[in-house]
Amino acid sequence: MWNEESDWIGSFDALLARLAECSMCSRRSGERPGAAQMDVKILDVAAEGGYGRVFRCLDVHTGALVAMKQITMVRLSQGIPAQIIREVSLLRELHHANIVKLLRVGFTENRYVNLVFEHLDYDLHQFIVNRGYPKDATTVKSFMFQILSAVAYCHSRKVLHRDLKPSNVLINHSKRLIKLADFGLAREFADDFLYTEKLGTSWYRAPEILCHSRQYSTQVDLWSVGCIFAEMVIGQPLFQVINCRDELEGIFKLLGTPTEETWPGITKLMPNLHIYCSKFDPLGLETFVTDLEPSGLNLLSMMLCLDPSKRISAEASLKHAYFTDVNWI
Amino acid sequence: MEGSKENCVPRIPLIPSSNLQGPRMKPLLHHRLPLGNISQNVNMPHSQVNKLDLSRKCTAHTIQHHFPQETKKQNLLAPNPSCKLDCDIVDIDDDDGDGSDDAVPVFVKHTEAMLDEIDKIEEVEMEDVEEEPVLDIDACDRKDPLAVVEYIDDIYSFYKDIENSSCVSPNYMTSQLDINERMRAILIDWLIEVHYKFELLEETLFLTVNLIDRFLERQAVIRNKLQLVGVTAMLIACKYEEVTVPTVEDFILITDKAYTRNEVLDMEKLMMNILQFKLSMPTPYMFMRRFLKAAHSDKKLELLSFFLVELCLVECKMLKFSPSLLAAAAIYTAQCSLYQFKQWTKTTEWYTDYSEEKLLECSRLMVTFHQKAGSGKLTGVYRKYNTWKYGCAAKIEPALFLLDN
Repeated sequence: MWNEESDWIGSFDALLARLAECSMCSRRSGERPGAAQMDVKILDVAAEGGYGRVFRCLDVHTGALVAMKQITMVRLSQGIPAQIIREVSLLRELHHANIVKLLRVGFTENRYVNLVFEHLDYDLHQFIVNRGYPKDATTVKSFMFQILSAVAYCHSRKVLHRDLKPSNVLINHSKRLIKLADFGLAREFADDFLYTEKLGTSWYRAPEILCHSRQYSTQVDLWSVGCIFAEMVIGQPLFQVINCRDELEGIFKLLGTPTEETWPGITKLMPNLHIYCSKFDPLGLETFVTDLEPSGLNLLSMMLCLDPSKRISAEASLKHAYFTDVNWI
Repeated sequence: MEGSKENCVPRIPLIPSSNLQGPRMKPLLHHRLPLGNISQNVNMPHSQVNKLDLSRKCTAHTIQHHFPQETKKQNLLAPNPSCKLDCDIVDIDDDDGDGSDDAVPVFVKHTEAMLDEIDKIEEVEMEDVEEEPVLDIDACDRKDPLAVVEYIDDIYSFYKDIENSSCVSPNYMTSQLDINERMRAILIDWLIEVHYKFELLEETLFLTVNLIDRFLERQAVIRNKLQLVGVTAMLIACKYEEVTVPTVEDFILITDKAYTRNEVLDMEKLMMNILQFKLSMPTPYMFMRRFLKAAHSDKKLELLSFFLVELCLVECKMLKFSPSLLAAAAIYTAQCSLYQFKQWTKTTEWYTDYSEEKLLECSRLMVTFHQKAGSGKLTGVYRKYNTWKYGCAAKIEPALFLLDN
């Protein structure tokens, strides 16, 4: 799977010439960019996005279904994108039942990077939109437990996902198995680090990021998980439901405009908060998330807590009363 | 004992030194401090407690801190004295005023924050043990979301488990046909200057060196391409660690246009293939952050520790030590340099998982590097740490007494 290169070569030019033969770094191009040297046969296009395309393929050796994510290298002059370097290196180290497996990596000379993953049937977004969202409480609970297990594992490995949303949660239909995917925005975290603020998909972005904080940690992922939780219950993005001009106003309408008492440090983080938006009294989660048992609503409120320091962790979430009925695990 | 400080006393389980073999070792015995030895750990105005006369063996109310999801390790740790105790002592007037030996009853008024953490208040027999406590260095950070206290033990035990996979053979250079240890040293010394010039994160430098060594261990390189390996490793490390990455052009310019863009990009692909995209590797930097916290370091100790560990990056012979050992030894050596006596507390021993004895070989080598850092041709690290930005740490006298025995 991962090519072991062990023999020594004296000539550096000969070494560079070997690039053409590397299974991971091949520079040949086929009719379909990257398919031949990735040892896969393309069946059809499964998805398309700003990054490139995802093909449904057959592994020519095993005959198994695989997914090939083909990423277009936008700034060719700068080499391998940082996003790919991070995604691949992190996925190489993350081994968990609820995290997608990366099988192979390859480069093509015509500006593509190919990542071959295990195949899953569809993502949570498709599941919610096309199949009627998971109305039964057991499925929601099972999916939530698996998502949180994966997130807790990532955090225990010092990794932030930073782009959790339904389309990045993949599902194996027959096993009802959940796998986190798309670690393109993921990175190792540190307590003294300034990160970029422009990341994540807006409906799932934590308020501290929307408030332009560049110091954040694992809590941003928990906010996103909370948004996914609510979406599974109500069938559409929580903050899309609320009539507002932007995500931050929607958050404040739902949970109330923060004050220094409810979120210590908010005035420093957002000095013009009072100018930016009116003072909203909280509408309350129960107004929008109606079909959720009390313990589930309690967990959701702990995930969607404005103050990151009071937001529940993934590890603590797994021990929440909502998951006491463990027959389905 | 007029004005004693000994009444708001957290129960401090101690780790007997004979049992102290690292973070995952559970001690056989739990000793408790006598009240007389704990007074320095409790900051309390004298005036708050009057007429207390506590005999050597006495009964006292103690507070057992309870932390949610506490690990076995945390059960063995004392609260950090630098953290403000979250309780007030309320003075009660002594009615009889007879100066008897009976201890005046003291009420401990807990703040709301403390109430969350108190599991139980119990009477305990205090034993007379002259042991230094192992402090819980994370106690202050439980409410800091950036400190990820809940995961910190998992993270560092994982790093310790996998750190050997990031190491290379200390004599890998013997397999190289056209380059040697001296050339590697020149390259690393130059890269330290490049790193300084580009104002990159500290972790980027450590990852760069790790990538170079792991690549060179597996691939022979001719000498006029060694600098290409160096700048490409730094480019990759920047892409992994930095928020703002220098461009390929920046790296080409820094080599005085010795290489073309295509050479850099081809080398990047080759290195990523040979390294199999394994960039998430523990480096000394990762351990330094944690161990400096355990050492309750100030800026001076931090800068001197980093100076010493960066001196080691240049030296091939230091590859025989694991990243965590290098980090621990750098801090130990820095403490010895600053205080001019051996200092390695039970707390640092506990969190680093290294006894003083295990550090000495590495530490002595560091002292020799420190001694000759300003002389010779490779003075990149010395010049960097001779600036005000780095606290002129290079000027601090080396701990030569470590070489004596």
